Amino acid sequence: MELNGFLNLFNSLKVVDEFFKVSAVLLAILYLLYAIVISKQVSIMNRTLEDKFQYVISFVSSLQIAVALILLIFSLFLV
Amino acid sequence: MENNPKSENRVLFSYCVYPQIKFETYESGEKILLLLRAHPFTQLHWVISSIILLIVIFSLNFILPSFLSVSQIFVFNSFMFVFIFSFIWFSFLNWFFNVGIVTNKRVIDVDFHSILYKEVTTARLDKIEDITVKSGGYFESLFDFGTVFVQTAGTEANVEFADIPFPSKVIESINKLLSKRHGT
Repeated sequence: MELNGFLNLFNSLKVVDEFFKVSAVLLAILYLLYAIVISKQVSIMNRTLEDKFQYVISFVSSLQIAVALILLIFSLFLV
Repeated sequence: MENNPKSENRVLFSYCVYPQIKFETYESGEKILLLLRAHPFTQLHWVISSIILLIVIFSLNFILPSFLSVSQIFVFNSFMFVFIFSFIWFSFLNWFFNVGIVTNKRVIDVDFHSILYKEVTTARLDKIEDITVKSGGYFESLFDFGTVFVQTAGTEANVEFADIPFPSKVIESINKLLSKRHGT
């Protein structure tokens, strides 16, 4: 089979698209888990050291979880 | 947070005098005199890495359209920016919560190794035997930062404040506290 033929077959099967979607969903799930762990850890850190920035730090950690959820939605429905 | 008459923050919150904080093992009546973090210069590596990563992502956007669709490029960019933000946030937390605290009763070293592992080392002032400062190199001299080692008597753990600004001032403060305690 010629190279062009092979590439056409590759494109028609949409292998790249499927691979991209699966990778994106997996990464988004992993990132969500990571964001949850970091958020939990940040609350431990805030308990260890309380200062005036603790609310900002907690807020950014929560924001990270929200962003991780948005990424998961993007990967599921946008790609 | 009831103590602290005139709080002062220097070198981007890495040298705080009479900081308005509380910590987990805070004892009532304990006065917090110093809160120490690594000098911001020692954190430059992750700031530079983040900027380089941002430039790489920006450059990739010139190549990606030949391989990926518009929605895929959008998702790819979202992932990349989120990962860079996470890297920055992780590094910042690592810096912010790795602190040294000097109170009128003890010195405390709070370490979060890679954020996940917590280690709090405490040395009471009456157990302190020796204080050493290690500061060498061009940047340490230029920006005045170094590592302070507090050696304790017996089996108590030693305390280390790594890369803190004004190490000589910290030693001076601890020595003053020790002199007061020992009445010399």
